[in-house]
Amino acid sequence: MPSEQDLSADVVIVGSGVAGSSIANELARAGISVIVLEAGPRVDRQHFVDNFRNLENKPSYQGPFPCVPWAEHPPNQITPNKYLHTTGPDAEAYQQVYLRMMGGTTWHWAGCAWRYLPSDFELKTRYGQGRDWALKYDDLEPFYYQAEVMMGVCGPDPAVEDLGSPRRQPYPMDALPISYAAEQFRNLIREKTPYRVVHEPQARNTRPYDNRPTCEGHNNCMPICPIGAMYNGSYSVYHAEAAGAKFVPNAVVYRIERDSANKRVTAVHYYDPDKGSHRVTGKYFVIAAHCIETAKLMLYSADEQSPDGIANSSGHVGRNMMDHTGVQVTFISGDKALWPGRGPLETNVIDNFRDGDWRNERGAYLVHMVDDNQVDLATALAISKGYVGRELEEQIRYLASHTVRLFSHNEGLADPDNRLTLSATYKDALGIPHPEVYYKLPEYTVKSCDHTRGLFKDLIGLMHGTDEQWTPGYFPQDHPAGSTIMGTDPKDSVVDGFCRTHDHENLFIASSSVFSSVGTGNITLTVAALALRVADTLKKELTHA
Amino acid sequence: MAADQPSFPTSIHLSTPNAIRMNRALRMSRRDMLLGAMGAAAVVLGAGRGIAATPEAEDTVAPLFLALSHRLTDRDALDARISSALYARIVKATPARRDQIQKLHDLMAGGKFDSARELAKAAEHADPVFKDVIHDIMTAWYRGVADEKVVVYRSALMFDITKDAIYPKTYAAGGPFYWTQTPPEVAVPTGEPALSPSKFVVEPT
Amino acid sequence: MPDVKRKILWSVLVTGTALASLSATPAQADEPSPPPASAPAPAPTPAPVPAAAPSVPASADPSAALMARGEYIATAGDCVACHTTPGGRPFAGGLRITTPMGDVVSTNITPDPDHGIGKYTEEDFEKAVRHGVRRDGSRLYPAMPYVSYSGMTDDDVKAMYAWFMHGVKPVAVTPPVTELNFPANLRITMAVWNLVAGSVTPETGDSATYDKMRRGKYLANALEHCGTCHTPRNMMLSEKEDSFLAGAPLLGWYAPNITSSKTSGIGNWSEDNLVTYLKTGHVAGLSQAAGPMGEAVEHSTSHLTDDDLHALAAYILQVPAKEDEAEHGPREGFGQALDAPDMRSGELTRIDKLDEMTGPHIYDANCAACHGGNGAGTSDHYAPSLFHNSVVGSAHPDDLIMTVLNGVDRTAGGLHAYMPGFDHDSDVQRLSNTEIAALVNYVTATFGSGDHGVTADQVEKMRKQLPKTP
Repeated sequence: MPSEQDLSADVVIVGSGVAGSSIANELARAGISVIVLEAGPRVDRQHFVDNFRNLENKPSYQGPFPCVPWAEHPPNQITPNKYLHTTGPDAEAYQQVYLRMMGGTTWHWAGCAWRYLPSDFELKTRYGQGRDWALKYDDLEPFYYQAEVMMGVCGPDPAVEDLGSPRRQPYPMDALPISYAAEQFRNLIREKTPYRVVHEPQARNTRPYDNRPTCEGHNNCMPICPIGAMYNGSYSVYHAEAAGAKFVPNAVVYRIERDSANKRVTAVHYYDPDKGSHRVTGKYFVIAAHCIETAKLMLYSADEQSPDGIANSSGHVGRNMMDHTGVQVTFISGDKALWPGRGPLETNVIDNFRDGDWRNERGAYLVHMVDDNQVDLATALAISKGYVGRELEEQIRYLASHTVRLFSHNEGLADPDNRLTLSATYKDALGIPHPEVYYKLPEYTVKSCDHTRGLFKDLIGLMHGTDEQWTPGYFPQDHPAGSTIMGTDPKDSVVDGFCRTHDHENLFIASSSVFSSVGTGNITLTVAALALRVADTLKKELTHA
Repeated sequence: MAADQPSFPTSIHLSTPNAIRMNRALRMSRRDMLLGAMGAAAVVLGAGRGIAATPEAEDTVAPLFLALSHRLTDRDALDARISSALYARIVKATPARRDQIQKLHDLMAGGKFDSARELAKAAEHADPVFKDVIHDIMTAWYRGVADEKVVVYRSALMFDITKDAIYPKTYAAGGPFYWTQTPPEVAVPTGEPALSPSKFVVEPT
Repeated sequence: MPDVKRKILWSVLVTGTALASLSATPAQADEPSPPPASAPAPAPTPAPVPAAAPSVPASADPSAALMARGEYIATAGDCVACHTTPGGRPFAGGLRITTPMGDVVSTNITPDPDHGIGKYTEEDFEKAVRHGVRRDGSRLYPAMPYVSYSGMTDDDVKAMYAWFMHGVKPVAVTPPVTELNFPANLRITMAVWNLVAGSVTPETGDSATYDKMRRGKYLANALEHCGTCHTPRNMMLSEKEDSFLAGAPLLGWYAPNITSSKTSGIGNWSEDNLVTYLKTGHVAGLSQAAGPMGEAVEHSTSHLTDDDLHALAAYILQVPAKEDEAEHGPREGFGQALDAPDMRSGELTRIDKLDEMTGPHIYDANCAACHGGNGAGTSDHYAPSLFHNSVVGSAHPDDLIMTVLNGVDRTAGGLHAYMPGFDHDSDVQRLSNTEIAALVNYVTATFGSGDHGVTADQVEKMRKQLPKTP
């Protein structure tokens, strides 16, 4: 039988994704005892690769990950959804997906590892919009680098291609050579527009790195890199375990217990899959359970002491839901064959709209020319057009080599009315309510998307495009943020600049849920940098104690 | 809310996927074993021991399906193992297809059709249901999908006809950075469709 | 560099009983540096061993030519392989070689006077290199291939000494002391072993002026010490003379038969093939180096001159054929591209269902991404073909199992070849013993010379040979 010690650690972390596992790794290496409670199971790569190949709807990147009943995640991006219930005028624009399992959602990301721009942290000060963070770019810079080393990020030499986020060190690996298709796109943009295409920083190996191989361009970063050339949270889990951290899979935390003064968290309680309940105590607690699940847990933990939920004296837990709502168009280029889908999925962006004075009225965005294999889509399309035999084969080759897809990340904005609540209708197998999100696109984001559509139309023209198919409305980019927002004032924010909750001195949050603004770059590197900063704070406090 | 229990599955945080498998194997019932064995048989890859299941092989329409497929793909060489698996799936999803395939084959046998296009055109003219049958056959061979299930992935014909340019996802065989090389040019197709167009619906993700 | 596994002949330490019986007998050998008994001298050069070295540490700066020669000889002798830890400072020692008798730890051979060999005179150095005797008179464990090195010319020892004293940066660190189990922990045992194993007579003259075949022999035997791994050992633990380069197991790997046998040995390799292999670690359609040979290529042979590589290759190709009953054809000749469709169930498994898969299924989910569904590898040969591949074609599946467990990490010829391992601490995928056995049997049956019936127990034993994480 387990001893009391098994139920206790210096630091108890909820969630084993990139945030939770990287904190666990740092702390364990410093000799601090750590328990990580993960709602989902242990998993492995080979079964996901196999699932992907057996998946009929290949673009469904949530598809290869059928969830367990005690830790459901959204099965797809379809509204109405079986798990994440979205409502409001732009419900479909917030139909996020994520993964609840060991290692977290980076099992299926595209590896884009952007630093935010200094201005992203000061949106209110610089542009009078949204909110400022309770920290500055310079506070995070060393942790950005630490995160880049941890993940293995490749990127361009700033002297050649400055991405706008000042660096003290070069990228750990050289930039990834872009594909022929991306090169043609880059040349076009350079020759025909005032804009530029830059190499996207990516957590992807351009040489053997951290006992993982060089990228071989399987074009399947999402949903599953078949060879481990791209970072995912499972590596940090493995490294943390090797350093002595304990990970408990299938441990669904449902309650956060505090002391009588309601100042310190004393324990968290979790259900095992059979709903047996267990109590885990610690000195410090970190909730690193993804933006949506973190807010859900804090609201669900409401009790007599905190009737509105944990760390929620401001009432802002579950509010300010943001995303990089996107615009997407697919068309047939009239120029020479590009054959997109050779190499990794996302390697290049137009970065001219990440910042500018116009951010005082419309949101920023960045544009990806997606390097996605279009053979399957081309085949389905050509069959629907009525082709057979030899003519079908000609069509497939032409469509697969000429299909271009552009999509954007458009900046969301913190609006307290965009709100996550606990579903009154739907519950999971353990009786825990599903999350529900009301979403109305901020006008700021709508204007940004309008601007993007204009740009896309210009680009389609430049590429002599035809058959343009606009993905209807706005689509979610799975970069949810804001549900436990950061700020200096405890009255309108949940955590401070160190991601410590205003209400509970030993409770930290490591997630995009603390973002005060969402910028344009993919959120993961910033999540990791913030997490490593939490680890740094905890190390200092625990070693001084 | 369940009462807190002092018990804590110590082993679970030390467990590895292998250990979990081992534990599961030890707990496995005979029924599980049988199901597992059946599952394994269904997903055997390579070595020619695939799904080419015997019951379908005895179906007299199965060879007709292959003959039709040769005509409708304009190809002489098609894999018989894939053919029987595709046929089995198509008929399983829509039992009426067996009869329809037989009839479509009769139509082919009763005339002279020099191309897939000629046959498909005539077929749709003869009976609109043949359009659906032909869609099923095209989807099966080119996408490797029947009954909305993947029957073959990398062996689907769509990858055979693009193999000089691109690899199936997860099967890239060009080595690191192959993607910087210039792929082949593709001429604008001039061929006409054979069937009336259908509404194209992109599956939601 | 991934690990600390190096081409150490723990095989000589395996037979504990033999060592015990040896150490029990001639106790009088417990004196410093007994003159080594000569083994049957293979070379017809009866020249005496001149102890012509000065008896004080060298101080004057040697000539650049001497230094360059010394460095080259040290490279050809692959000293760095054992005397440097992965990522550690060159020649500072500390490499831990796990043997069934305990760990042998390599020593600091930088010129630091207190921690390294700074106080060694040229005579001391010569005794260590050629006779396995330390400056304090104690015996080196035969992990140090001094029996091979005993064939080095005086000039080359002298050049190497000059380079170690003046070209290597001193490092003031003493590696941990080797702790072996009884009886191998008695260095006296080694003296006894040495009496039996002996040494060879050094080559004479200027090794740089030898003709091709003599140079090749010199490189193969005195420097690269090929036989240390590739020649099986006799009862007395020394290399079997009649089985020179006939193949032997070591550290879980199998150093294959590289005699001129067409069926069991080097097969149909040309001299150019062999040169390319030693230079880059890879010849498309033949083989590729991993494990200890990968390291030998990376640290040593890839740095040799083309002339030397040709000499070495020419010598290897004329080594008398020795047959291996297990091998039925050239290892690189087996197999062909698999022509089979990837039949699928179309069913998805829940994320927590981690059931073991069958051999073909494991291959498809873990190997086919790079090696291809048909086994042909990548078109640029970065991931090699699995058919026409001597590692897969061999009747000894040891190297294939070890490669699956340990991966490949070899930098040579301007290319960093890398394959992740699939062992217990892989970040990419951790495979069970049963899975690896099933996988290896599938791969050799499909692309090699047949299913060799590898069992999970066998894999477990080889897993234990893997280096411990430093």
